[in-house]
Amino acid sequence: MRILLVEDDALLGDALHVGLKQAGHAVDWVRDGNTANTALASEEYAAVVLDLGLPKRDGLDVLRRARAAQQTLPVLILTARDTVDDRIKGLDAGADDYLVKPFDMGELTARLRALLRRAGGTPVPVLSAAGITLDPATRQVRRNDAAIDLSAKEYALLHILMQQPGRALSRAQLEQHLYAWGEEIGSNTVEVYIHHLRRKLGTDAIRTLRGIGYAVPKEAMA
Amino acid sequence: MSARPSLRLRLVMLTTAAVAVVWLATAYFTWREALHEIEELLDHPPASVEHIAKDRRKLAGEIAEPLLKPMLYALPSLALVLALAVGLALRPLRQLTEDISTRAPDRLTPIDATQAPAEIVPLVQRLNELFAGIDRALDNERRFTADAAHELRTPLAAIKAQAQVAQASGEDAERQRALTQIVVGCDRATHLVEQLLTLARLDALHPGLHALVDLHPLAAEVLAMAAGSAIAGDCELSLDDGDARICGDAVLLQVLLRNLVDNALRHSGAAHIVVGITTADQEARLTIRDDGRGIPAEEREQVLQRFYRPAGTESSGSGLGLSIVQRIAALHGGRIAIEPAGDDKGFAVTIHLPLGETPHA
Repeated sequence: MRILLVEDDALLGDALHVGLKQAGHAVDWVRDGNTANTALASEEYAAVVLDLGLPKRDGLDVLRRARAAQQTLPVLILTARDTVDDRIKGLDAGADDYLVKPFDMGELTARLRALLRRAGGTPVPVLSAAGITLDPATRQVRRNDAAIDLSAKEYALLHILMQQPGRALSRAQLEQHLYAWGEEIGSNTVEVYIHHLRRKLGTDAIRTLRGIGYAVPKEAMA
Repeated sequence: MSARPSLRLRLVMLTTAAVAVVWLATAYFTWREALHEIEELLDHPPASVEHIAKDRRKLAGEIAEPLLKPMLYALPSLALVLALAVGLALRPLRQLTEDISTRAPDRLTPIDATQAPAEIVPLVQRLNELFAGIDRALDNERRFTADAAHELRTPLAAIKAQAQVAQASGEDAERQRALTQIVVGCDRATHLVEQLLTLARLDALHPGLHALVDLHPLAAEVLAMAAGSAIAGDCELSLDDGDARICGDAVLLQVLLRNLVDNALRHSGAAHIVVGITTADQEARLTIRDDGRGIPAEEREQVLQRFYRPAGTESSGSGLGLSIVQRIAALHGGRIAIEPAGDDKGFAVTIHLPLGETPHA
């Protein structure tokens, strides 16, 4: 999933950037409030990890602007402000979750998974469709109970498609979700990953809808 | 004017009343005794005037003796009534003492001065000022502690997150990088703690620094110590001619200058840093000028706030350097002024300090 990371502290931002990538996300890291709002307006993110004490524009302000612009993506606030008042203010400004520094990386990624699940409309922790199960917590994929080994990008692509089985996503949409800024995107990389996934999961695991995009069918083909 | 009469008026009024009551009672009893004596005399008249003349001493004694009796009772009762009156008069003082002695140490609300007698009002007002001052100081302390804890959270969060990145990493290069970042994070937290301690110690100091300090040799020493990091950062340090002698504490002034030079070295990206000392208008001016990226006008006020870090500065700063500088300048009766160094480039900090003694030519 593509995550926007808003953190002005170089060292912490670096750790989060690497840590979220380790958890399989594509991460765009911005360091001030203005850039955060610009990024939110121009790109499509699955979720935002937002620090509050930011230069130029405060994190709460970034959040209020995003909500005012009808951006409904999940927002997790990450901050050193820990009073109950602060938390209430953060949640009331439109945050979905609130984590106080110092935090546990495992907890942060678990909370993100929970937020992404809710946002995807599937509260069940393990996704399943077309005879495939995908567990975001362990990043394990099984087909008919046999474990399948996937690369990071293959996994990410399958995860996006399996969040809404039966719904087709265009190549451009998939690229949006898969790549952070500065990552090289080959002209046919999505096709290449789809090809790999079909090879590992079976050709009927991912359908191509000509002129529309790709989808994982809800039910396995008989 | 106080709502209550003064303590003196209260005392005078109450004692006068007490004396008047006892005096009137005594007069009444004396009058009654005198009447009684006259009646005795009338009932048993002496045989003749000669008799009176002969026994005048005895007779006077017989009349005076019962007349003195009321006086005998009057004195102790006067003492008793006076004691009551004085107690009554001093009641507001006792109430005040009770109010203060039963106060919890952290209750710093002002004492009600409207009920105090006039003599006590200035005392109560002074106490209230003192309470307010302590309350402000405690409040500052609490806020500072909260801010400090808050500021320590971010480096700690960074260290923890980097450590967990290292734990989760499958690649050796990524793990090594995270470990290096942990060390950087620890250095940063250490720097922050050191600056916090410096500031806490400075906050406990009071003005009253009396040694004479020559600024030029002091600056030369501080710059010599900073030479290593300046060379590493490819920055040229220099010290202009000019000296001033001020009254102060050499160690604190070194801390002041070191913080300013450190700031310029760490955050400005300057190629040149020039320190100069001049005198004008009975004050010494210590100026540190760099040709780095400077600070936008809208942020210039904020840089003096504790924990403020201008946007885009490296995270190694504590945000306390200029607070320390400002505090030391204040302890010396001086102040800090920040302005652009000119040509839209760089940044100049000038410390104005009162001159101690004119330096030798």
